[in-house]
Amino acid sequence: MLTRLRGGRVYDPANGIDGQCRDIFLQDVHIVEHPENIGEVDETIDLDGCVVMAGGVDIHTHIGGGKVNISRMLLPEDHQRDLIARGRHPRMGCGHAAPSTLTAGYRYAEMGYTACFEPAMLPANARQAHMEMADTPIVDKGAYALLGNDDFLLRLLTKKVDQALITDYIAWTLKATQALAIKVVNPGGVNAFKFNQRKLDLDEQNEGYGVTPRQILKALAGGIQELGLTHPLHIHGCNLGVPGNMHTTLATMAALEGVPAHFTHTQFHSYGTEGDHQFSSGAAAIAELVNANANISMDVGQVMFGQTVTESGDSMRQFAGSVFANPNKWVAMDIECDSGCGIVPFRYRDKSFVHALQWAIGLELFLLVEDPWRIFLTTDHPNGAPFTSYPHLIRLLMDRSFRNDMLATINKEAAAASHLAALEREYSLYEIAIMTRAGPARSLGLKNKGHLGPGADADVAIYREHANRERMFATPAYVFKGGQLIVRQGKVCDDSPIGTTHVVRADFDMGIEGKLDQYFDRYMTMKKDRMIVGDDEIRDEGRGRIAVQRVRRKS
Amino acid sequence: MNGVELRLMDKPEFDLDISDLIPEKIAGKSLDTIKRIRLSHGNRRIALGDLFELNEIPDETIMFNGATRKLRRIGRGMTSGTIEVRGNAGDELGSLMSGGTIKVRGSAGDYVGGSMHGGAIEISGSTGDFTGGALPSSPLGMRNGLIRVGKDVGGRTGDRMRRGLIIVNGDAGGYCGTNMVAGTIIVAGRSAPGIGLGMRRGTIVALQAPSELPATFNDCGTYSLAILAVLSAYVRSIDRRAFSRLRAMSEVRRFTGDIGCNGQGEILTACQT
Repeated sequence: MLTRLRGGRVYDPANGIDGQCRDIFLQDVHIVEHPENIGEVDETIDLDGCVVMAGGVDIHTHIGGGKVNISRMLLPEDHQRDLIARGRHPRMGCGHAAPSTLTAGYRYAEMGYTACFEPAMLPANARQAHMEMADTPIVDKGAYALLGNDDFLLRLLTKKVDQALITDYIAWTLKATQALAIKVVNPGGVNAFKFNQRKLDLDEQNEGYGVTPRQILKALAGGIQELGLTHPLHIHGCNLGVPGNMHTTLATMAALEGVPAHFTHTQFHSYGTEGDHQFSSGAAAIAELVNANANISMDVGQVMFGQTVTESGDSMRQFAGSVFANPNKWVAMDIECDSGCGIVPFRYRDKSFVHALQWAIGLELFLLVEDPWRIFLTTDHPNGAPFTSYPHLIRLLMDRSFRNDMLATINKEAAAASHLAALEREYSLYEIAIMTRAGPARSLGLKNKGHLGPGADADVAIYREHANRERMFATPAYVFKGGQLIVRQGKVCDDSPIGTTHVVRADFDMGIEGKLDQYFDRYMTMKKDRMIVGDDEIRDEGRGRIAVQRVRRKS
Repeated sequence: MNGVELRLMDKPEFDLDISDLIPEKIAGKSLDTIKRIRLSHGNRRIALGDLFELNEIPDETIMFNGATRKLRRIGRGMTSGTIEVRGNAGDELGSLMSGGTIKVRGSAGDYVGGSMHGGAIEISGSTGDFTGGALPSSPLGMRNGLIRVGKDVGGRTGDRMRRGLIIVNGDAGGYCGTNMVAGTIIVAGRSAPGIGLGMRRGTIVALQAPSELPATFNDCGTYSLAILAVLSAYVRSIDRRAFSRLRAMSEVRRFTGDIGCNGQGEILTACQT
């Protein structure tokens, strides 16, 4: 079937199209060139007054895996207060900050997003994470495997083994867990927590292993570069949320010495210690360093006011934050000596100095980092806010007067402590298309996503032009996924598309298997082969699909 | 305002959440408006008028006539007024309520008065588990108010209760008063094993000596406590049956615990002679 999307204003940064009126042709699951015989077109949709973009790609959103499930169990009220009957969505569901899998998929589709990536999959939890993502309808997905706090890697570092062995271990982990990238959370810190350390700086030693975060970062980032992965090491650094952590973040960026890296939810890592409250914005310094170093990309992790839940593998920092739990209940735990997990419900209040300044710091980062190809729009769902606040965030970025109106309503001291009012930048639709689509897709090496050129997947989001950008991005006129019309006027009309799971594979020396066999037999609760998630489990007899990115190892 | 009588026309197929039918939410509304209130029925939403026949009645009451266990959350979160139920009520009757009165001529399901803040619930029949207990997601059970049950209660009555009074004229199921923080439970009938486990403070008056107490309760001997006279004087105005049995108890045997969690709660039982 050939569908013609006629006359919309197209924003396709990957192909350099900036708001020109173009026709887009969808042939089955792909976008195709203008056909020679226009008579072949089966269906034409008129898009006068509409903006056409590729389907959104969320590079960092916690939609599957152990901690999401723990948040759901911890917060039944989150579900009770947000019930969705069948009719509103094709199938019923619930949940605001930690929505059910079905609701998460539908809500993403309703905003024009067609791919979402779970950033923190513990290798021991990989099977459960993939099953949960398989239950998330419509959207494409993928996950980043967590390394850096696992006993096996820390043992390797203690023994000062050859980097090649660590690189093999990274490649093995990617394959065994069906991951798309590698993430590190508080390198070594989550593990140090188990040795009763309550903080770990970049050059501080883990008491159990004598390994520093710097060593872990270098080993992982170097290994990933050697493997040739498109997405570099996804870093959640040390000292999350600690006032003054901007210096740690700057030092971490410098420690990479030019090796590519992605810094995630940087807003939580950009705090200074100036002012009466010993809490200030470090956004300017962070942005300056990011602007000067092309090897670094980041996403923001913007805070939005309201109730949410923070869920993280960083049990060290989550334990420290547990005093702020609202409602007052929280969880911190170890999982299979792989990493940790911390769940702390949180309510961001606009009248709180700290929360309001966090909000402002996130926006400062957005506005000060110049290259939209290296900064991505996230709220670190649900840690800064649920992903449903993206349209509001887009309006804040695109509309300076609206931003200043909002600034006038927050805590006065925080508003005065921030440079936000002086920042005149307003994002254009072209730049929004980069940071929500083209940029993340390119960073993750998804060649067929995030753009509208011939050969791309037929994932298209069409928004009706409106001066209120929040309204515009909250209710797309049409959304196509794999060539199927799935959303009409902001409402899901078809949930049959099956999302593809994107994974990456790199070569490794089979010698690592023997070493891991021995390790699993000696220390772990299961055999190594039981942990490995097979391709057939993802395909699940036609209920899932898998797309493999193969990369060539450099050495 | 006059009251409204709701009579179920047909047995509903699925559970019905009728927390929208509380006095303050329907005050001043016409019957037609009330009929248009939409309810979740299974995975659909239907109008209230399709299930209930509505009549105006002179008393300022919401009356459910011919109610069944399918009616969930009757009086949830109500702050004032009166609800009367003829027949059985479903789960979460009067949960989170902070004022007003609910009377049930029949039995009720689980979580009667779950995490309620105030008001009174009177049930002539029996109730299910977690009567006056903590709702899922709530850290505390009943925080104030009164629950009277004419017959038996299920398990874990008054779980994590914080304040208020529960009077049970029949038997109490297992684990009565678990994790109680404070408040009073009076059980006139027998009480099953597990009573008071995890109690921090609070009082359980078991008018018949429990067949078995947890090992983490200390026997403190027999007393004639002045508080019993105060309690029975209070209960006299509320529940004559419980009062007559409470008054007959001049001396009590006192057990404190749960010492497994440094608790200072007490279980008062009749002296066995």
